Amino acid sequence: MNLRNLAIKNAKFQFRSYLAYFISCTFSVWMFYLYGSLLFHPMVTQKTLPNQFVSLMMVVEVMIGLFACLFIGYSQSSFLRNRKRDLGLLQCLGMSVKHITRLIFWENMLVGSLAVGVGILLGIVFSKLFFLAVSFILDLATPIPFVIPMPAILLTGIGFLLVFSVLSWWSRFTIRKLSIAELFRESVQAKPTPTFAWWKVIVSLGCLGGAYYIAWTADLASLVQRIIPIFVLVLIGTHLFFTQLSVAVISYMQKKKKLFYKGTNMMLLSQLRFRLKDNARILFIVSLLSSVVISSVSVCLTYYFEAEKVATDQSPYHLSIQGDLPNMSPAELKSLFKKEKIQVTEEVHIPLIAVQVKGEKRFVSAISQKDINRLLQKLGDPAISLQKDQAVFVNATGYTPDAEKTMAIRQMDVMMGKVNYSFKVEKELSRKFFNEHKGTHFLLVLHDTQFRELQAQAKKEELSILHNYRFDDWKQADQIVMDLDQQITKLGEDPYNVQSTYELYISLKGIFAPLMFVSLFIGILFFLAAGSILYFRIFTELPNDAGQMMVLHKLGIRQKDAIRLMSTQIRLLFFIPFIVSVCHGMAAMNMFSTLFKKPVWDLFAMAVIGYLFVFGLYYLWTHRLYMADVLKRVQKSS
Amino acid sequence: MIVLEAKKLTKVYGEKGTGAVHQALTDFDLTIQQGEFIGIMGPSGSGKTTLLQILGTIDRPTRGDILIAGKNVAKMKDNELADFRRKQLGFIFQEFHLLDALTIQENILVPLVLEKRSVAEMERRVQELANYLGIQKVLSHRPYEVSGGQRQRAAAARALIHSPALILADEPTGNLDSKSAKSLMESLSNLNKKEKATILTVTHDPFTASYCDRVIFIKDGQLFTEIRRGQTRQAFYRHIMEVTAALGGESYELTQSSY
Repeated sequence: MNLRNLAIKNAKFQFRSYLAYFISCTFSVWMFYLYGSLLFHPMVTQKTLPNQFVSLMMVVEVMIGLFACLFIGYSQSSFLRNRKRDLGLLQCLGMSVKHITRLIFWENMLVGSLAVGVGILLGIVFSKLFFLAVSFILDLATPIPFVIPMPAILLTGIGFLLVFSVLSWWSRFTIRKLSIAELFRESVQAKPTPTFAWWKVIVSLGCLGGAYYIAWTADLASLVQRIIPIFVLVLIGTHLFFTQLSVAVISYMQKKKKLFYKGTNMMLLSQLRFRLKDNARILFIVSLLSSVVISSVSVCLTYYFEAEKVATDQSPYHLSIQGDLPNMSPAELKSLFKKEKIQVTEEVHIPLIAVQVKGEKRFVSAISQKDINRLLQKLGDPAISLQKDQAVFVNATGYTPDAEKTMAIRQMDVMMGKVNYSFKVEKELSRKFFNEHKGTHFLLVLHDTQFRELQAQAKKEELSILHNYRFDDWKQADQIVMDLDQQITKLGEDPYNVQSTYELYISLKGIFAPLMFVSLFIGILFFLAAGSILYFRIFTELPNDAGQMMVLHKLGIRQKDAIRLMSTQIRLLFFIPFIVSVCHGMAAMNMFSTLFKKPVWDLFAMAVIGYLFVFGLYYLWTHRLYMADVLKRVQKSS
Repeated sequence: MIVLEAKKLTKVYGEKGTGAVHQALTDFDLTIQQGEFIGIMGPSGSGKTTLLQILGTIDRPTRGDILIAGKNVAKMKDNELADFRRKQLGFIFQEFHLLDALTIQENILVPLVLEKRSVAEMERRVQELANYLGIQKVLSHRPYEVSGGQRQRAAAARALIHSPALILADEPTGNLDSKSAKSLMESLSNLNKKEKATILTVTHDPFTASYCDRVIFIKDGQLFTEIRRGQTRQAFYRHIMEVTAALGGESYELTQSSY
């Protein structure tokens, strides 16, 4: 027996508790290799893949790498803390810190190189499938061919081995901090009963409530500014939720004598009080990881599958052109439609004037009362009636829910030529009328005569006509729409002048298909990491639990009941974070669904059920291995 | 031959200026001859454990010198200390502290493994000590599969296997029932004679202490008194009881429940 043998024996003995860590490491290596093999694929150097997609892959690769470092570092330090007694003993028996670091190094390298080997092998085996999936997502005509890029293998292999060895080297600092003096009569110190502070409970509820309120009332315009405060509040709230609120709830239940003295509740609640507090940090991390997974997967799923609805909502006209086409008159366009056998079911031509409103930085277009009433009638909404010098302001971005607000009279000054026009605005309308053009975000509805007056005053480039068409089947118009776009770009005109449902639909799919693809992979990675952190935590309690089980047995509690007592605790450790993350996910889902009239809960439910299923399997697996180990220990020592 | 010589050992806990200063040892002197079996007794908080940690080079004295096997350990660096402990010291703990990953035999072998000794020597020493301590039947078992008494005897074998200059024991019988305690102390006492092993044990139990040649009593970090064994162990036991009573009834540590 030598130092290396000792390391192997240690690793073997700890194998059960290392298992989930090993699987997560292997999975990280596997994912890292897959994305790496795409980045180093000859197709990328030949520029056959879209640039955006390649940079997204790059981001994902970096994310996987960073996450793997954090995860491996965190796991290793918790392994060390868990073994501080053994490591202290070895120091006491005359091993220097250098020796122990070397021992840890061998153990880590053993697990690490195994994970790297298996991960790369899995990566190579599955890369064909991965390439096929990417080709499908990107709608490539010829699938990406199977290759094994050497740089990807080298980067993955050397990179991960380096991470493992650097982190093992780093462990010397943790080892130094371990106090060997604790070996002398350690068990005398009893753990104090976990307590809670009322004000922290209130802060926890306040933070969570506040975050949910901010998320619930967000609209698309305020979304971006709100993300950071929400994130901070959720972090604080969730952390206090596990350290304070959990203890508060249990202590309340312990005070209810009827409940507390019923069956094994007393033992369960007393043990839980310690367990939840001891594991608060882990439960917190697991909840956050799960929340990120559930939110991002369900948001991406929603946008991918509801791209059609978003496209028709945000681009109500199947084709719209602001101004004149440089190479085609409206009549020529109509004959083109006929040639392509596209039936026009509706067409509206609306004159607009680009106006400068004093104190308003956004682009505003003036529209006549007659035209807006025509559009309102089609939507089934009441018409607007205006007097001279009156106006209605319209927010037509589609980012805010439909609304009609009457407010205190506000004066809006419009300079047209050399004349200043003043309008009294007392109504603001939020409604989506047109596709996204430069001048269709904000409208100012004017009295018909005044609109004509302004038209007469305006310069030529301030006047435009918005041509809107609706077809019987917008998906058939794909060719025409894309051709028009191309021609315009070629002629040096702003492609923003031509907008269509199809184009928006395609770009949404183009954004969310890769995002969904990526979020699924990262979701699995996070999920495995969260599971393995929990798994390890549960396994560190094994000697304690086995001891407890023997005591319970001696007290005359049947093994079946003792197992049930332990199962309940493990189940709670797994599923409390799950429930918390579903709640967080729901709030996130609601917030990111502002583009829909209401959140798409059935897709969210699908994501949650999928997660529940996988998480449940993970739980069953952990539970089974754990119980088998506990029973083995109990039997061997009795 | 002198194995250990401690001169004016002083240990102060806490930082200066913070006010919370506790003097655990004050100018403590101790000389141990080779082959001695010494017990250290005293009320809780008297400095027993501090003394043991300092002699074991786990902790450093604030002032004073310790010469073990002719070397001044108070001036050694951490790495030198590790080497020193490996070669010259053996430890027995109240909580046994065996590695669960290893079998009993492998646990006993750890000091020789760290010293990179030959396999033949390892085998010979393990068999010798296991026979002597009556644990040859459990050598292939894991620590959690055997009784407390067997675990502590395995720990004793580990402390002795590399024939260190000094063996330090911290309440070795604290976690054992009286029968196991008796058989452990008998084995240690015999090994002390047979292997000429020098043993120093901290204990609060007069029965355990009665196996020693000499018992040193500490109070408030200073030597209280020292008694030597005369004729029989029974007489020595009574003598220890008398001194313990003289140390003060309330300060006498009642057998702490180990769990």
